Amino acid sequence: MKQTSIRKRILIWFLLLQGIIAVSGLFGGLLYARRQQLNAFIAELRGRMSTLLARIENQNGQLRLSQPEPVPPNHLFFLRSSGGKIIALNGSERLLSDSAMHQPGSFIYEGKRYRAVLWRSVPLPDEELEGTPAVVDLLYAMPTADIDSHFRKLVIAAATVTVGFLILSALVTWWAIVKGLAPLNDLAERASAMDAENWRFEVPAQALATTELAPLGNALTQLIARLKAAFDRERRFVSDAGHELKTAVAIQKSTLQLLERGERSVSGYKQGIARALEDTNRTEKLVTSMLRLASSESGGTSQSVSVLMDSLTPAIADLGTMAEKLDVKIAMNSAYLQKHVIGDVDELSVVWRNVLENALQHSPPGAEVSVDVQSTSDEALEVCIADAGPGIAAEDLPHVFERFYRADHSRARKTGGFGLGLAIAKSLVERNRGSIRLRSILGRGACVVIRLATPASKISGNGSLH
Amino acid sequence: MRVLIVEDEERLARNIEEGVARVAGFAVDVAHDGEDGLHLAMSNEYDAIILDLMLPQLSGKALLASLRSAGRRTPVLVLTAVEDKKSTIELLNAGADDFLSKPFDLGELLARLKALIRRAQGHATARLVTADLELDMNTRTVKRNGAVIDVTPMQYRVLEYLMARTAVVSKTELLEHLYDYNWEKFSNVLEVFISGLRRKIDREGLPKLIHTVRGHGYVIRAPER
Repeated sequence: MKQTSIRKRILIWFLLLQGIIAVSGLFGGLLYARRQQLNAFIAELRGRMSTLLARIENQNGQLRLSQPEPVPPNHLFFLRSSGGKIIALNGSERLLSDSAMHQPGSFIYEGKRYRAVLWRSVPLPDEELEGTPAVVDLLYAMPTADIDSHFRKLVIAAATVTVGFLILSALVTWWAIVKGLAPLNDLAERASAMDAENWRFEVPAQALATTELAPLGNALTQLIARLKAAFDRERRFVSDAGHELKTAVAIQKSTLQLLERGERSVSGYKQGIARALEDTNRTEKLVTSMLRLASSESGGTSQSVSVLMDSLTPAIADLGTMAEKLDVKIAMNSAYLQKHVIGDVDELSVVWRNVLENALQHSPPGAEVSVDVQSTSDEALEVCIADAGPGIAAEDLPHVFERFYRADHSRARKTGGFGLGLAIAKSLVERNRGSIRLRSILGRGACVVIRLATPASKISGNGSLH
Repeated sequence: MRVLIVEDEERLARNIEEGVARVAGFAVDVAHDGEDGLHLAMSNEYDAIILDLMLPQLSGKALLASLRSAGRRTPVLVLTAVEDKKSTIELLNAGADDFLSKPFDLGELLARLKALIRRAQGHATARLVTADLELDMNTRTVKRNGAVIDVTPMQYRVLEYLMARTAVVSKTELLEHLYDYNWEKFSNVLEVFISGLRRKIDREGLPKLIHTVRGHGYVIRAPER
């Protein structure tokens, strides 16, 4: 993608606008100046013409100029009586026939530009000729070289000033943009200084004090905090997973190494092999759990609908042997079992099995694990799997669904759990648009509540409850 | 010698215990969590402690810190799942004497354990010598004047401890280092082991090496000239 520069864009638009304003201002100003100049020029022309007219006198029936005043030699004029008789002429005869006569205003005479005014049939009330007032035509022209060169100088000066102003303005604008965007660069620099090892990020004070940058800075801070939390979670998971796997391998390895050392009887070897096999099964279970967790967390939501009974009943049956071994009963109320819920049969089976296994492991012998299904006001179903175990301490509650978390460490080791069962359950429930939470009264047991949407209920965008 | 194993993974603890007891011939106590481990480490005299880092109740690091701040000098071998330089340095600085990362080799674990114990008692090699009496901690053989002497495992334990300490050892100390936490039950049999050892080592015609220090205990030392 082509990269664009905000700085350049702002500068170009700003200069373009300034250029248009400056050029139109320049044009307007110059036009006005020119008009004023021409008006003054014409006024002078008319003044000179009036002076000329005033000096016409009648001498024996002949009109003529009294005591011809010196007219500047480069001014042209002619004065003609109505009869066509030339009274006075300054310039050549050509003036009479020339286009000047027909188109007064601007003309070229002997290579020079002139501007002229022609007054036709001006009556002279004071000078009577044969009983009627004399009538004359007067044309007067002055060279425009002076005012033209003056105007040219004006144009050059104004244009120079305008261009200079535009250049200066561009420089100042560029400096202002660079200075104005400095906090943004600063922010970017701080952000780019971060990596997986160094999460320290502080919005520069200058950026925080900038109205436009403060929201970006705050958003970045929050984003980084969230990323760091997620990153830390993943890092802890990898570390925990590594610890579990290495321990599992250490067990297998040490079992075999013990078997290798010293002679044993046949039954002794058989015992050793059985132990090694048990260790391997445990490692296999750990790997399976971890892979299941990874696949359930790999995203996507399931849309399938199933009958609650199809996943719940087989799961309870599956755990019958374990329950018997631990001397714990599983009791279930049968209401709502025929209901349809949103959730994949296989995935829900894993959920029930994991939660039930957890409940069984925390139950004292002779106790009962109850599976209770309730309908909520918004037509969702809530499955509560409760045990009569020791319950969960308040400080452990927020962590029970975390991967590898074991509230009661020493006992969990004995029961052979890895602390992944509830994490898998949570991940699968959320994938099926449900939610999972844990209620507990210390000393009186815990209850895992799984809320599943039904096709009749409205599914909220994010059904997870924490 | 008596060793404490603090490891929450029971199957691993059991394997290490079996290795230390059966292969190295040491008395072993096992704790499955940090608190239990600290309690045992503080109330008994161990020749070494094998310590896992990730422990429930009290982490291995915290256990080590408490142990060292209480002035206990017991050699500690740490089992760890993380293998980065930083945590290794931290561990050694915190008072660990050696470390081994999982999954480890059982033979290496035992060799390191024996080396730690040996060093703590001031010996450079596994061969302990007093006059013409020789004991090899690796092969667990005893020789006097070059001739191999056949001793029972318990007799070996008594002799190994006495030769390693090279000082007067009280009955209580000896019992504490020969047996696990049940040692008090065995107080009567100690004399039986000592007399058995005397019969095998201090045979007639040879200079006496095992001495009873009345009111104190036992010591193995070369005859004075």
